Amino acid sequence: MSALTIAMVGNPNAGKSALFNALTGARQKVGNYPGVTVERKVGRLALTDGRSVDVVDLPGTYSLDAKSPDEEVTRNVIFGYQDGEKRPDLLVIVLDAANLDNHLRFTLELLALGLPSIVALNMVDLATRDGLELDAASLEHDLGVPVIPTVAVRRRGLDHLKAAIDTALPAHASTRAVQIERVAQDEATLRREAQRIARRAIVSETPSRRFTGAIDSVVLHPISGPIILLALLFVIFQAVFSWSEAPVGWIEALLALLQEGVEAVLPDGFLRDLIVQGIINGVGSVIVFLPQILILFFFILMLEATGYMTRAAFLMDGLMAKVGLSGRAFIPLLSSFACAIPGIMATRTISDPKDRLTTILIAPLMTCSARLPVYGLIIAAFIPQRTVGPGFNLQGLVMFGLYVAGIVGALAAAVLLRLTVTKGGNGSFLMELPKYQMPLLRDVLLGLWQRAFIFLKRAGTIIFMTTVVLWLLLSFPKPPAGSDVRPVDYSAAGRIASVLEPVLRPIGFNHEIALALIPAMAAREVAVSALATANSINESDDEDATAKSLGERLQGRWSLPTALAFLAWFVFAPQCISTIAVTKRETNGWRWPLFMVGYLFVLAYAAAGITYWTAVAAGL
Amino acid sequence: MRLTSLNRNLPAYVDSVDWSALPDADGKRLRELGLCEGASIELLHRAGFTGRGAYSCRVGRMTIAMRASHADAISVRTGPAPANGPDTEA
Repeated sequence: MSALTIAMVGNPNAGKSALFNALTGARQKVGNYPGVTVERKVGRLALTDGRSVDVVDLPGTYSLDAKSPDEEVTRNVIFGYQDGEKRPDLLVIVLDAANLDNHLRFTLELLALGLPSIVALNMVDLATRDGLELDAASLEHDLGVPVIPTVAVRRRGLDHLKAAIDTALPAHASTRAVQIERVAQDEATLRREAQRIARRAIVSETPSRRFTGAIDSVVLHPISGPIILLALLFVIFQAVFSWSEAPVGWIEALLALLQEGVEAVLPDGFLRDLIVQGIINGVGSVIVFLPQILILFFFILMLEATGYMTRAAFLMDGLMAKVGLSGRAFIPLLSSFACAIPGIMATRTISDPKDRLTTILIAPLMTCSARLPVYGLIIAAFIPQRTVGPGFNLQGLVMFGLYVAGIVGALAAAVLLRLTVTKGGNGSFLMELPKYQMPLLRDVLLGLWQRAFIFLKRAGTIIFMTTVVLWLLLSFPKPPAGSDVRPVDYSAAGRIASVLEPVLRPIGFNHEIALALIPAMAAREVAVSALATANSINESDDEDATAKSLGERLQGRWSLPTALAFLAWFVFAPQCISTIAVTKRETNGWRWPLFMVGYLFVLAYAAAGITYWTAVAAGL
Repeated sequence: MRLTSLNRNLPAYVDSVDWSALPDADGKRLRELGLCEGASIELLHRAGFTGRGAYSCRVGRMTIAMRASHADAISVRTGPAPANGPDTEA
């Protein structure tokens, strides 16, 4: 007998996920539905009679007529058509108590399906705050199913809800896939019925100037609104870079310890080199970004949980509309400053497929944190440290210019893409601005843990594989004994670099740059260590020392135009393999990641070329 | 009058919506968000320094954000919503 399954279903912003977290605690599994990029969240709930059931948290939707991939999954699961999910044995319909008339419409649509159901009348505390007093018994009478008042974030009503689930749940799981024939329901009739029921359930309604309205009058104000948003972004950026310093140091120290340990245990040879240089260095160079990703996600989850995120989208919609995108694209693009991977994953909330695709395609143009070590190396080596006006120094200005170049490049690319390959779609912006709420730290931490797990899992699989392959390419074949050819030049990667070099020479790149670009495909910052290897510098554990001595070496070997061209290249091109992999997963195929790689390489080549030729012409 | 010309923070109700001027999906989403003939509506904010960005409105007990193209398709009348509630003429 298979386990019983409960599906949590309801409108967006009904507090469904908070209720799901409160019911299942940390006993959750997060994955994807097969073939689609919709997150599947399943938890386990122990009932009072000792039974244990699976609880599925379905994406929020307004009706059974699906528009976005998320909503389609919700509908398919309820109807029993979804691959990888059996039809639920019980629906827990989550209603926002303060939004009864609206949410009841979807509830009526669900109840008409005739599946065993329970209604959780959630966020009754916020309804009271808004001056609403409700009669759950009247609602129960009109709907014909149990109605349990709950406050998920305060864990109120959970015992009653569990007891109701216990009673309503059938004794055995349905073993056959029941195909529900939907009764065609007229939207207007449903709405009228919902309003009638809501009116009967509302005991009293005191119109009060609501808490949310008061905050919005400051946060959405034409002047203070954008200032607050900018200030918040500033704080987030500061935090991402400054708070992460210590934990990054710890991870690096741990990796160094691991490396020493392996070196002490294993004899010199292939296995030791593979583990130390390939695995620990390769995978480690990606894992050091975990603190930054977690700090960024902490802010994103907090902003989402409070309800501010939709306000940010609202404020930014005007600007995004100018480049053919929607305000919803703002958050994914913001995330991409830390790393394009979470940014691309965050595009799932964009319902218009063309909008979403455009956002995915331009996300890698946002300056991710992996470019910083590369920018830092070249700027320190080639740009003089001098002030150019009060409070500005040239190195800082160049760094700022590189960030701006990425943003301008992304906006321009969005305009071009919307006129060509991602033409069409209405690029609409229509969304609910939910009530402000105090976020629950437990839910935020749970979300963070899930992100960390997904990231580490990827680091352990795809990133692990690619770094090993790259290491093999850089290490083999070995030059014959007595040969004076450097091992990197003799290796497969060195030979590939020789093939690439003639293509890259017109834009000012030399053989060692060509060689560095190959491992930079795994992670951009690896370009720094690859240059170090190519320069035959004894690798030091201290990154700064490596960068410094390397910078001095590069000064003598590269011209200024070459260095500038190298920076311009990194603004646009080198995809990391993880970005390509996540794009493949999110777009369900190779077509768009290949297109993305192609267009970004062309852009990078052109940008580096123009920079190089201009700099040479200017006599730099 | 159009929602785009309604003054801020003035109680009004939806008189009619030119559904044909809206993409099908947007019309449907607006109705799902409770915006239909007879619903009470109040213009709350307009985004952007230049005041040309998205609109936020209170519709019933919900706050929703929309673009000018949506607001332009919505005709409103000032005053409290008709007592018999939304959609009476539907």
